[in-house]
Amino acid sequence: MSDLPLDAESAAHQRFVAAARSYWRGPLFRTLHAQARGAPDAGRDLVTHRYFAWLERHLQRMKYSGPRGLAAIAQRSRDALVALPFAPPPGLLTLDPTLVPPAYYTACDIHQQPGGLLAELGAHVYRAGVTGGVVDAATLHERFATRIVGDSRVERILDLGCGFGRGTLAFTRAAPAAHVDGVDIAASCVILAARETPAALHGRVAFRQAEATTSGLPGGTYDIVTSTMLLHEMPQAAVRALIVETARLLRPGGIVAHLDFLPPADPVLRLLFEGHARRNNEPYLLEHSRIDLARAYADAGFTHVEATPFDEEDGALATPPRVWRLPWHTIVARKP
Amino acid sequence: MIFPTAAALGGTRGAPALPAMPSAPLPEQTFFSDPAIDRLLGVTMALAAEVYVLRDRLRAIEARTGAPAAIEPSPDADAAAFVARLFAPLAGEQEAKGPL
Repeated sequence: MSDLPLDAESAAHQRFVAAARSYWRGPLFRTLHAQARGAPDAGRDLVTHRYFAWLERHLQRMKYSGPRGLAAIAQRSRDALVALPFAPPPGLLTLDPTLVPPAYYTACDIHQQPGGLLAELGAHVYRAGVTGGVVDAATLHERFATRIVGDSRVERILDLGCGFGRGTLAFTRAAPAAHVDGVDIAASCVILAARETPAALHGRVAFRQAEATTSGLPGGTYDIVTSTMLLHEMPQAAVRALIVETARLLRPGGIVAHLDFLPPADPVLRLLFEGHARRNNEPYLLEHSRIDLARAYADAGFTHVEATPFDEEDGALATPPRVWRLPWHTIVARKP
Repeated sequence: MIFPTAAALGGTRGAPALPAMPSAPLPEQTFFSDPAIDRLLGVTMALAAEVYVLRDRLRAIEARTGAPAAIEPSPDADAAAFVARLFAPLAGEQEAKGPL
Protein backbone atom coordinates (compact mmCIF):
# COMPACT_ATOMS: atom_id res chain seq x y z
CA MET A 1 0.00 0.00 0.00
CA SER A 2 2.61 2.50 1.00
CA ASP A 3 5.48 3.05 3.36
CA LEU A 4 3.16 4.23 6.12
CA PRO A 5 3.43 1.81 9.03
CA LEU A 6 -0.09 0.99 10.14
CA ASP A 7 -1.10 -0.13 13.60
CA ALA A 8 -3.68 -2.93 13.62
CA GLU A 9 -6.69 -0.69 14.24
CA SER A 10 -5.70 1.83 11.57
CA ALA A 11 -5.06 -0.99 9.11
CA ALA A 12 -8.53 -2.40 9.79
CA HIS A 13 -10.11 1.05 9.46
CA GLN A 14 -8.36 1.67 6.14
CA ARG A 15 -9.39 -1.79 4.91
CA PHE A 16 -13.00 -0.98 5.77
CA VAL A 17 -12.83 2.33 3.91
CA ALA A 18 -11.20 0.70 0.87
CA ALA A 19 -13.90 -2.01 0.79
CA ALA A 20 -16.62 0.64 1.15
CA ARG A 21 -15.13 2.62 -1.74
CA SER A 22 -15.05 -0.51 -3.88
CA TYR A 23 -18.74 -1.07 -3.17
CA TRP A 24 -19.47 2.60 -3.87
CA ARG A 25 -17.80 2.67 -7.28
CA GLY A 26 -18.91 -0.86 -8.20
CA PRO A 27 -22.28 -2.30 -7.14
CA LEU A 28 -23.77 1.00 -5.90
CA PHE A 29 -22.69 2.83 -9.06
CA ARG A 30 -24.19 0.13 -11.28
CA THR A 31 -27.47 0.31 -9.37
CA LEU A 32 -27.51 4.09 -9.70
CA HIS A 33 -26.64 4.04 -13.38
CA ALA A 34 -29.46 1.60 -14.09
CA GLN A 35 -31.98 3.59 -12.03
CA ALA A 36 -30.90 6.96 -13.46
CA ARG A 37 -31.16 6.13 -17.16
CA GLY A 38 -34.30 7.84 -18.35
CA ALA A 39 -34.95 9.46 -14.97
CA PRO A 40 -35.56 13.22 -14.90
CA ASP A 41 -32.42 15.34 -14.71
CA ALA A 42 -30.18 12.27 -15.12
CA GLY A 43 -31.32 10.94 -11.75
CA ARG A 44 -30.09 13.88 -9.73
CA ASP A 45 -32.92 13.55 -7.17
CA LEU A 46 -32.82 9.78 -6.82
CA VAL A 47 -32.23 8.59 -3.28
CA THR A 48 -29.49 6.30 -4.61
CA HIS A 49 -27.76 9.34 -6.11
CA ARG A 50 -27.84 11.09 -2.75
CA TYR A 51 -26.25 8.09 -1.07
CA PHE A 52 -23.68 7.80 -3.86
CA ALA A 53 -22.77 11.47 -3.44
CA TRP A 54 -22.63 11.26 0.35
CA LEU A 55 -20.38 8.22 0.26
CA GLU A 56 -18.00 9.80 -2.25
CA ARG A 57 -17.59 12.81 -0.02
CA HIS A 58 -17.34 11.06 3.31
CA LEU A 59 -15.38 7.93 2.43
CA GLN A 60 -12.67 10.28 1.22
CA ARG A 61 -12.87 12.09 4.56
CA MET A 62 -12.69 8.80 6.46
CA LYS A 63 -9.63 7.80 4.44
CA TYR A 64 -7.62 10.95 5.13
CA SER A 65 -8.94 12.47 8.34
CA GLY A 66 -9.58 11.42 11.91
CA PRO A 67 -7.31 9.44 14.24
CA ARG A 68 -7.15 6.47 11.85
CA GLY A 69 -6.92 8.63 8.73
CA LEU A 70 -3.80 8.70 6.60
CA ALA A 71 -2.76 12.22 7.64
CA ALA A 72 -2.69 11.24 11.32
CA ILE A 73 -1.03 7.90 10.54
CA ALA A 74 1.73 9.69 8.63
CA GLN A 75 2.20 12.14 11.45
CA ARG A 76 2.54 9.34 14.00
CA SER A 77 5.12 7.76 11.68
CA ARG A 78 7.03 10.97 11.07
CA ASP A 79 10.16 10.06 13.00
CA ALA A 80 10.45 6.72 11.19
CA LEU A 81 9.83 8.31 7.80
CA VAL A 82 12.44 11.02 8.18
CA ALA A 83 15.02 8.53 9.50
CA LEU A 84 15.04 6.54 6.26
CA PRO A 85 18.49 6.68 4.73
CA PHE A 86 18.76 8.67 1.51
CA ALA A 87 21.74 10.14 -0.29
CA PRO A 88 20.63 11.53 -3.66
CA PRO A 89 23.45 11.47 -6.20
CA PRO A 90 24.33 14.77 -7.86
CA GLY A 91 21.72 15.89 -10.35
CA LEU A 92 18.92 13.64 -9.19
CA LEU A 93 17.14 16.17 -6.98
CA THR A 94 16.95 19.96 -7.11
CA LEU A 95 14.89 21.83 -4.53
CA ASP A 96 13.91 25.49 -4.52
CA PRO A 97 13.56 26.79 -0.96
CA THR A 98 12.45 30.17 -2.30
CA LEU A 99 9.46 28.83 -4.20
CA VAL A 100 6.21 30.36 -3.04
CA PRO A 101 3.24 28.33 -4.27
CA PRO A 102 0.48 30.25 -6.01
CA ALA A 103 -2.57 31.18 -3.96
CA TYR A 104 -4.85 29.04 -6.14
CA TYR A 105 -2.91 26.00 -5.03
CA THR A 106 -2.99 26.69 -1.31
CA ALA A 107 -6.59 27.90 -1.09
CA CYS A 108 -8.09 24.43 -0.90
CA ASP A 109 -7.13 21.01 0.47
CA ILE A 110 -7.35 19.25 -2.88
CA HIS A 111 -8.80 15.73 -2.70
CA GLN A 112 -9.70 16.50 0.94
CA GLN A 113 -6.10 15.68 1.89
CA PRO A 114 -5.45 17.82 4.99
CA GLY A 115 -2.62 20.22 4.23
CA GLY A 116 -2.35 18.93 0.67
CA LEU A 117 0.93 18.00 -0.94
CA LEU A 118 2.71 21.01 0.47
CA ALA A 119 2.67 19.60 3.98
CA GLU A 120 5.92 18.02 5.10
CA LEU A 121 4.69 14.46 4.63
CA GLY A 122 2.16 15.34 1.91
CA ALA A 123 3.58 12.99 -0.71
CA HIS A 124 3.56 10.03 1.68
CA VAL A 125 -0.07 10.70 2.55
CA TYR A 126 -1.00 11.16 -1.10
CA ARG A 127 0.72 7.96 -2.17
CA ALA A 128 -1.07 5.99 0.50
CA GLY A 129 -4.31 7.70 -0.46
CA VAL A 130 -4.23 6.95 -4.18
CA THR A 131 -3.07 3.37 -3.80
CA GLY A 132 -5.96 1.13 -4.75
CA GLY A 133 -8.16 4.11 -5.63
CA VAL A 134 -9.75 5.48 -8.79
CA VAL A 135 -6.45 6.81 -10.19
CA ASP A 136 -4.41 3.72 -9.41
CA ALA A 137 -5.12 1.28 -12.23
CA ALA A 138 -2.00 -0.86 -12.36
CA THR A 139 -1.46 -0.26 -16.06
CA LEU A 140 -2.41 3.42 -16.28
CA HIS A 141 1.00 5.10 -16.40
CA GLU A 142 2.66 2.37 -18.43
CA ARG A 143 -0.12 2.41 -21.04
CA PHE A 144 0.01 6.17 -21.37
CA ALA A 145 3.79 6.35 -21.65
CA THR A 146 3.98 3.47 -24.10
CA ARG A 147 1.31 4.93 -26.36
CA ILE A 148 2.86 8.39 -26.38
CA VAL A 149 6.42 7.26 -27.00
CA GLY A 150 5.47 4.50 -29.44
CA ASP A 151 8.45 3.40 -31.45
CA SER A 152 9.84 6.89 -31.94
CA ARG A 153 13.36 7.69 -30.89
CA VAL A 154 13.13 10.08 -27.99
CA GLU A 155 16.03 11.81 -26.27
CA ARG A 156 14.48 14.14 -23.70
CA ILE A 157 11.15 14.02 -21.91
CA LEU A 158 9.71 16.41 -19.35
CA ASP A 159 6.96 15.33 -16.92
CA LEU A 160 5.18 18.38 -15.49
CA GLY A 161 3.40 18.02 -12.16
CA CYS A 162 5.18 14.71 -11.71
CA GLY A 163 3.92 13.98 -8.20
CA PHE A 164 5.91 11.19 -6.63
CA GLY A 165 7.18 10.06 -10.01
CA ARG A 166 4.86 7.33 -11.21
CA GLY A 167 4.52 8.80 -14.71
CA THR A 168 8.13 9.96 -14.85
CA LEU A 169 9.44 6.46 -14.19
CA ALA A 170 6.92 4.96 -16.63
CA PHE A 171 8.37 7.20 -19.36
CA THR A 172 11.90 6.06 -18.53
CA ARG A 173 10.75 2.50 -19.18
CA ALA A 174 8.87 3.40 -22.37
CA ALA A 175 11.84 5.35 -23.76
CA PRO A 176 14.92 3.50 -22.51
CA ALA A 177 17.35 5.84 -24.29
CA ALA A 178 15.78 9.05 -23.03
CA HIS A 179 16.63 11.41 -20.23
CA VAL A 180 13.49 12.26 -18.25
CA ASP A 181 12.98 15.31 -16.07
CA GLY A 182 10.18 15.48 -13.51
CA VAL A 183 8.96 18.79 -12.13
CA ASP A 184 6.56 19.34 -9.25
CA ILE A 185 5.67 22.26 -7.06
CA ALA A 186 5.71 20.14 -3.90
CA ALA A 187 9.07 19.42 -2.34
CA SER A 188 7.69 16.35 -0.59
CA CYS A 189 6.77 14.90 -3.98
CA VAL A 190 10.10 15.35 -5.74
CA ILE A 191 11.95 14.10 -2.65
CA LEU A 192 9.83 10.95 -2.55
CA ALA A 193 10.15 10.53 -6.33
CA ALA A 194 13.94 10.81 -6.14
CA ARG A 195 14.07 8.39 -3.24
CA GLU A 196 11.99 5.85 -5.15
CA THR A 197 14.08 6.09 -8.34
CA PRO A 198 16.03 2.84 -8.81
CA ALA A 199 19.79 3.30 -8.77
CA ALA A 200 19.96 1.93 -12.30
CA LEU A 201 18.12 5.06 -13.49
CA HIS A 202 20.36 7.56 -11.72
CA GLY A 203 21.89 9.78 -14.37
CA ARG A 204 18.86 9.34 -16.63
CA VAL A 205 16.23 10.91 -14.39
CA ALA A 206 16.17 14.25 -12.59
CA PHE A 207 13.54 15.74 -10.30
CA ARG A 208 13.15 19.45 -9.71
CA GLN A 209 10.91 21.47 -7.43
CA ALA A 210 9.36 24.17 -9.61
CA GLU A 211 6.09 25.51 -10.88
CA ALA A 212 5.13 23.91 -14.17
CA THR A 213 4.40 27.33 -15.70
CA THR A 214 7.86 28.67 -14.85
CA SER A 215 10.04 25.58 -14.81
CA GLY A 216 13.34 27.37 -15.43
CA LEU A 217 14.39 24.54 -17.74
CA PRO A 218 16.11 25.30 -21.07
CA GLY A 219 13.85 26.05 -24.03
CA GLY A 220 13.72 24.13 -27.32
CA THR A 221 14.98 21.02 -25.55
CA TYR A 222 12.32 18.38 -25.20
CA ASP A 223 10.91 15.82 -27.62
CA ILE A 224 7.92 15.23 -25.33
CA VAL A 225 6.42 17.40 -22.63
CA THR A 226 3.85 15.44 -20.68
CA SER A 227 1.63 15.59 -17.62
CA THR A 228 -0.75 13.30 -15.82
CA MET A 229 -3.64 14.73 -13.79
CA LEU A 230 -2.16 18.24 -13.85
CA LEU A 231 -4.39 20.42 -16.05
CA HIS A 232 -7.54 19.93 -14.00
CA GLU A 233 -5.70 21.10 -10.88
CA MET A 234 -5.06 24.52 -12.45
CA PRO A 235 -7.31 27.52 -13.11
CA GLN A 236 -7.76 28.58 -16.70
CA ALA A 237 -5.17 31.36 -16.63
CA ALA A 238 -2.55 28.95 -15.31
CA VAL A 239 -3.42 26.39 -18.00
CA ARG A 240 -2.92 29.03 -20.67
CA ALA A 241 0.44 29.98 -19.13
CA LEU A 242 1.35 26.29 -19.11
CA ILE A 243 0.61 26.01 -22.83
CA VAL A 244 2.93 28.94 -23.53
CA GLU A 245 5.66 27.41 -21.36
CA THR A 246 5.21 24.07 -23.11
CA ALA A 247 5.67 25.73 -26.49
CA ARG A 248 8.90 27.26 -25.19
CA LEU A 249 10.25 23.99 -23.82
CA LEU A 250 9.57 21.77 -26.83
CA ARG A 251 11.92 21.49 -29.76
CA PRO A 252 10.37 21.95 -33.22
CA GLY A 253 8.42 18.80 -34.04
CA GLY A 254 8.09 17.86 -30.38
CA ILE A 255 4.76 16.87 -28.88
CA VAL A 256 2.87 17.76 -25.76
CA ALA A 257 0.84 14.91 -24.26
CA HIS A 258 -1.48 15.35 -21.31
CA LEU A 259 -3.43 12.61 -19.56
CA ASP A 260 -6.38 14.25 -17.89
CA PHE A 261 -10.16 14.31 -17.56
CA LEU A 262 -12.73 15.63 -20.02
CA PRO A 263 -16.47 15.56 -19.33
CA PRO A 264 -18.30 12.42 -20.51
CA ALA A 265 -21.23 12.58 -22.92
CA ASP A 266 -23.48 10.17 -21.00
CA PRO A 267 -25.76 12.45 -18.94
CA VAL A 268 -25.62 10.25 -15.84
CA LEU A 269 -21.83 10.01 -15.98
CA ARG A 270 -21.64 13.74 -16.58
CA LEU A 271 -23.76 14.42 -13.50
CA LEU A 272 -21.44 12.25 -11.41
CA PHE A 273 -18.32 13.84 -12.93
CA GLU A 274 -19.55 17.35 -12.18
CA GLY A 275 -20.54 16.32 -8.66
CA HIS A 276 -17.12 14.76 -8.17
CA ALA A 277 -15.51 18.18 -8.60
CA ARG A 278 -17.20 19.55 -5.50
CA ARG A 279 -17.22 16.37 -3.45
CA ASN A 280 -13.53 15.62 -3.97
CA ASN A 281 -12.35 19.23 -3.51
CA GLU A 282 -11.35 19.72 -7.13
CA PRO A 283 -11.85 23.48 -7.38
CA TYR A 284 -10.74 23.81 -11.02
CA LEU A 285 -12.09 20.61 -12.54
CA LEU A 286 -15.21 22.22 -13.99
CA GLU A 287 -13.26 25.25 -15.17
CA HIS A 288 -10.85 22.85 -16.85
CA SER A 289 -13.80 21.13 -18.53
CA ARG A 290 -14.84 24.38 -20.14
CA ILE A 291 -11.48 25.24 -21.70
CA ASP A 292 -11.35 24.63 -25.43
CA LEU A 293 -7.93 23.00 -25.30
CA ALA A 294 -7.81 22.41 -29.04
CA ARG A 295 -8.37 26.10 -29.65
CA ALA A 296 -5.90 27.11 -26.95
CA TYR A 297 -3.17 24.90 -28.42
CA ALA A 298 -3.95 26.06 -31.95
CA ASP A 299 -3.71 29.67 -30.77
CA ALA A 300 -0.27 28.85 -29.34
CA GLY A 301 0.84 27.59 -32.77
CA PHE A 302 0.44 23.86 -32.19
CA THR A 303 -0.91 21.50 -34.83
CA HIS A 304 -2.45 18.01 -34.89
CA VAL A 305 -4.40 18.59 -31.66
CA GLU A 306 -6.25 15.43 -30.61
CA ALA A 307 -8.27 14.52 -27.53
CA THR A 308 -8.89 10.79 -27.29
CA PRO A 309 -10.67 8.67 -24.65
CA PHE A 310 -8.13 6.65 -22.73
CA ASP A 311 -8.70 3.17 -21.34
CA GLU A 312 -6.60 2.99 -18.21
CA GLU A 313 -7.17 -0.76 -18.07
CA ASP A 314 -8.79 -3.41 -20.27
CA GLY A 315 -12.53 -2.88 -20.60
CA ALA A 316 -12.46 0.58 -19.03
CA LEU A 317 -14.49 2.12 -21.87
CA ALA A 318 -17.20 -0.56 -21.83
CA THR A 319 -20.86 0.48 -22.11
CA PRO A 320 -22.57 0.41 -19.69
CA PRO A 321 -19.63 1.13 -17.40
CA ARG A 322 -18.66 -1.64 -14.99
CA VAL A 323 -17.43 0.79 -12.32
CA TRP A 324 -17.49 4.52 -11.78
CA ARG A 325 -14.30 5.93 -13.24
CA LEU A 326 -12.78 9.25 -14.09
CA PRO A 327 -13.17 10.14 -17.80
CA TRP A 328 -9.54 9.83 -18.81
CA HIS A 329 -8.45 11.39 -22.10
CA THR A 330 -5.15 11.91 -23.81
CA ILE A 331 -4.70 15.42 -25.17
CA VAL A 332 -1.88 15.53 -27.69
CA ALA A 333 -0.56 18.37 -29.88
CA ARG A 334 2.53 18.93 -32.00
CA LYS A 335 4.79 21.96 -32.13
CA PRO A 336 5.56 22.78 -35.79
CA MET B 1 22.94 11.23 5.18
CA ILE B 2 19.54 10.76 6.74
CA PHE B 3 16.47 10.80 4.53
CA PRO B 4 15.56 14.47 4.49
CA THR B 5 12.23 15.98 5.05
CA ALA B 6 11.41 18.82 2.76
CA ALA B 7 12.07 21.26 5.54
CA ALA B 8 15.45 19.70 6.33
CA LEU B 9 16.51 20.16 2.71
CA GLY B 10 15.16 23.66 2.71
CA GLY B 11 12.65 22.76 0.06
CA THR B 12 9.35 23.70 1.55
CA ARG B 13 9.22 27.13 2.94
CA GLY B 14 7.36 27.06 6.19
CA ALA B 15 5.78 23.69 5.48
CA PRO B 16 3.75 22.71 8.51
CA ALA B 17 4.31 19.31 10.05
CA LEU B 18 0.61 19.25 10.74
CA PRO B 19 -1.87 21.34 8.78
CA ALA B 20 -2.99 24.37 10.69
CA MET B 21 -6.45 24.14 12.13
CA PRO B 22 -8.86 26.32 10.22
CA SER B 23 -9.69 29.51 12.03
CA ALA B 24 -13.39 29.17 11.30
CA PRO B 25 -15.65 26.15 10.84
CA LEU B 26 -15.46 24.82 7.31
CA PRO B 27 -18.73 24.80 5.38
CA GLU B 28 -20.64 21.54 5.36
CA GLN B 29 -21.58 19.74 2.17
CA THR B 30 -24.98 18.15 2.42
CA PHE B 31 -26.72 15.74 0.08
CA PHE B 32 -30.13 15.14 1.64
CA SER B 33 -33.16 17.36 2.11
CA ASP B 34 -32.46 17.53 5.83
CA PRO B 35 -28.84 17.96 7.05
CA ALA B 36 -29.80 15.78 9.99
CA ILE B 37 -29.78 12.81 7.60
CA ASP B 38 -26.26 13.68 6.42
CA ARG B 39 -25.00 13.88 9.97
CA LEU B 40 -26.81 10.76 11.14
CA LEU B 41 -25.34 8.85 8.21
CA GLY B 42 -21.94 10.08 9.36
CA VAL B 43 -22.60 8.63 12.80
CA THR B 44 -23.78 5.36 11.24
CA MET B 45 -20.64 5.07 9.13
CA ALA B 46 -18.42 5.88 12.11
CA LEU B 47 -20.13 3.08 14.04
CA ALA B 48 -19.80 0.72 11.09
CA ALA B 49 -16.07 1.42 10.95
CA GLU B 50 -15.79 0.75 14.68
CA VAL B 51 -17.67 -2.53 14.31
CA TYR B 52 -15.37 -3.57 11.51
CA VAL B 53 -12.26 -2.71 13.53
CA LEU B 54 -13.61 -4.69 16.51
CA ARG B 55 -14.48 -7.58 14.22
CA ASP B 56 -10.95 -7.54 12.81
CA ARG B 57 -9.39 -7.56 16.28
CA LEU B 58 -11.73 -10.36 17.41
CA ARG B 59 -10.65 -12.43 14.43
CA ALA B 60 -7.02 -11.86 15.39
CA ILE B 61 -7.67 -13.05 18.94
CA GLU B 62 -9.63 -16.06 17.68
CA ALA B 63 -6.75 -17.00 15.44
CA ARG B 64 -4.40 -17.02 18.42
CA THR B 65 -6.72 -19.23 20.45
CA GLY B 66 -7.03 -21.79 17.69
CA ALA B 67 -10.69 -21.08 17.04
CA PRO B 68 -12.05 -22.26 13.67
CA ALA B 69 -10.99 -20.04 10.78
CA ALA B 70 -13.29 -17.35 9.48
CA ILE B 71 -15.56 -18.15 6.57
CA GLU B 72 -14.01 -15.54 4.28
CA PRO B 73 -10.61 -16.55 2.97
CA SER B 74 -8.83 -13.23 3.44
CA PRO B 75 -9.18 -9.96 5.35
CA ASP B 76 -9.98 -8.12 2.11
CA ALA B 77 -12.71 -10.62 1.22
CA ASP B 78 -14.08 -10.38 4.75
CA ALA B 79 -14.19 -6.58 4.50
CA ALA B 80 -15.94 -6.77 1.12
CA ALA B 81 -18.58 -9.15 2.50
CA PHE B 82 -19.08 -6.96 5.57
CA VAL B 83 -19.56 -3.86 3.43
CA ALA B 84 -21.93 -5.67 1.06
CA ARG B 85 -24.16 -6.55 4.03
CA LEU B 86 -23.91 -3.01 5.39
CA PHE B 87 -24.82 -1.26 2.14
CA ALA B 88 -27.39 -3.71 0.77
CA PRO B 89 -30.35 -1.52 1.90
CA LEU B 90 -29.08 1.47 -0.11
CA ALA B 91 -30.39 0.09 -3.40
CA GLY B 92 -33.95 0.07 -2.01
CA GLU B 93 -34.66 -3.41 -3.34
CA GLN B 94 -36.75 -6.05 -1.58
CA GLU B 95 -35.78 -9.69 -1.40
CA ALA B 96 -39.25 -11.21 -1.12
CA LYS B 97 -42.40 -10.78 -3.18
CA GLY B 98 -45.21 -8.93 -1.46
CA PRO B 99 -47.51 -5.93 -1.42
CA LEU B 100 -46.14 -2.43 -1.54
